[in-house]
Amino acid sequence: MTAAPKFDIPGVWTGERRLAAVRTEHTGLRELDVALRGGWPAGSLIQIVAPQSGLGFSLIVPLLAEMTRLRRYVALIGTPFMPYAPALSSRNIDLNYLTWLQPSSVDDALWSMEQATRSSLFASVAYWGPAIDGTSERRLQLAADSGNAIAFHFSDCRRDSHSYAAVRLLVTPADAGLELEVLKCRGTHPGRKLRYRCVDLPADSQAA
Amino acid sequence: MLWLCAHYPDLPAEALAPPTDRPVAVIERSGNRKCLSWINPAAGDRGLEVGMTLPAALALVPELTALQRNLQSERQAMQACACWAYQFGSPVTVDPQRFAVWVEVGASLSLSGGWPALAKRITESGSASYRAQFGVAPTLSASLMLARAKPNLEAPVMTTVSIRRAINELTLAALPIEDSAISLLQGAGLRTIADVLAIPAESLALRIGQAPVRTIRCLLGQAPEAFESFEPPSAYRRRFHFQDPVESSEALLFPLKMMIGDLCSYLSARDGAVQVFTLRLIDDRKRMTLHPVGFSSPTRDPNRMMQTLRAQFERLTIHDGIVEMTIEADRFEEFEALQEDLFGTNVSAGQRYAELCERLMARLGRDAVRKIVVSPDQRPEASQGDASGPAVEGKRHPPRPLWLLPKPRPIQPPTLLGPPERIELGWWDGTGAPRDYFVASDTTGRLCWVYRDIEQGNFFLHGLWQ
Repeated sequence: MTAAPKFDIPGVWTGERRLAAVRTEHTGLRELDVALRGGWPAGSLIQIVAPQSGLGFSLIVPLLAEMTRLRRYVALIGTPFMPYAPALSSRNIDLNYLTWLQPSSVDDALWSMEQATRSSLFASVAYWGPAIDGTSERRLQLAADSGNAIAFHFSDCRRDSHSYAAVRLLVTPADAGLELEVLKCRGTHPGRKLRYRCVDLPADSQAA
Repeated sequence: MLWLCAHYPDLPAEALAPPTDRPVAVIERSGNRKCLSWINPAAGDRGLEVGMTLPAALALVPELTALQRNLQSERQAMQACACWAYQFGSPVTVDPQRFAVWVEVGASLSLSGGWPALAKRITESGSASYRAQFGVAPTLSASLMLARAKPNLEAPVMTTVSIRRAINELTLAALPIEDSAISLLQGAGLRTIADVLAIPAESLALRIGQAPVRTIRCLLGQAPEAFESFEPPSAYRRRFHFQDPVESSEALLFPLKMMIGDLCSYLSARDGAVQVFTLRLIDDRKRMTLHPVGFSSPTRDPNRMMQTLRAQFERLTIHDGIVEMTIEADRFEEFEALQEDLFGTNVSAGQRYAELCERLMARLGRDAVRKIVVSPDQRPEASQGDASGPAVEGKRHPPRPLWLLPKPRPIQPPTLLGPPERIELGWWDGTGAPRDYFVASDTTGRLCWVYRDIEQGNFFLHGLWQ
């Protein structure tokens, strides 16, 4: 079949234009990279919806390890439990570049999230907190863009209405692993599902 | 020698309160009466004069703000001005009674790039936030005379022979000699300084005495002047009184900015930096609160200090009005100027990271910003340090969950997914019991790290893998 002739009329959209390539960082899981068209998009806000608090942290651990390996700072804000140092260390996160913030109020947490992402000192900032309204989300997205940081927001609210986050994932536990569903990703259709197995378990446990 | 004289005519009032458009007067006790010793232009327009008694002044202008003269505040303000002057040259000398600070700029004139460049630096540097009049001349008294009578930075008097020409038209009252000598000369019909200088020195001495003649000779540079060099004090104290109690923390920021500017001039004069200082607030019930302000590295940058203070003040609640604010700094460190590495490595990024952590700590509290370190202890606990300290290198560990619960929670026996790992806790200090740790999956299918207490057999949830 011969190729269709190309029309180069100004002002006419020919339907073949592809989305401009966005810089991405590898997630550490090949199928997730494919589902997100390359990986976590740089300079964006990514929302991870999890029904149980703390679920989904293992998804971003490979990114944190890579960022700290490149001597860039990462931050965790408002974590529901204590990040366990030997676990982080054995997953190759350099703890010298990790900062852990525990603000006492949601306002303080959002403020510190914005300060950290906008400062361009942090390569990645992860925030655990309740759902935030559209204006704050937009501000965080702009801050992540100007500071070129990848911002993660872990929350338990699945609000299907319009969100400013570039990527939204839903995470549920599924027999000794996680089931991921891509709710939103720029350039793809939603609804793609993946399985993620937990790494770094004791060798002879049945889950590994 | 070229002396730059900075004269602060409004210092009695500015040391106590910020300048305003309302009529303000500074009162002083003389005998058992209170008299006005300084008035601002707004008060002068309403008909007040220096030397009036306070009741008479209040009768003329009922809304007059009368400030009690405070010599200690003035002294501190003069010290701050002297420290400000240090950046232009050395030595610096101060006359607190006449509100004058002199700094010798002739020796470093070529370093400053000539007089026009130096004059521009002086006008841009903000003169320590008090209103100043400048005079430049080769002798101390001549520069003070010019600062009081003809303040001008554009036309400095560079040589001793031109002093005469510069002061010729001034009236006799500008001469720094006693009033009795001045009135005698005025009674003799002399009007300007040119007339006085035309008289030969011996006949002048016969009329008014040797001491005024010697003063005039020093003025013209014909005799040497003695002065005492100013030394910055070893500890820094600066106090600011408020006339009306301040209710909000935002209103504190304006005088604080001025005081921080003074502190930084002082630090520049000492060539030092400060890492921690104390802010003392006294409210109108005479209760005092101390606020230590600290930075992650020694600094003398006023913008950085103001950013940290602003963040700290957001968390401050003021119950009663504040009437007095003091900054005290006793410990000073070496100032490390930021040096650019030849290869431009991450030096400045480390500095910016420290400053960001400082801002975060100021707003969230010192304990809220931490680094995680691995404790050398085998117990399933990680110790935490401050964000300013380094983290310990992690060794290879047995597989551990990402999340740790601060307190283990009892749960129903879950589905165990592997063999146990026995961890004995604290047998060396007698606490705790051995525990068997399992990877398990709970009712929702989530991977957990649980342990069974050997003695009692209950299951506890201690960590989560995902």
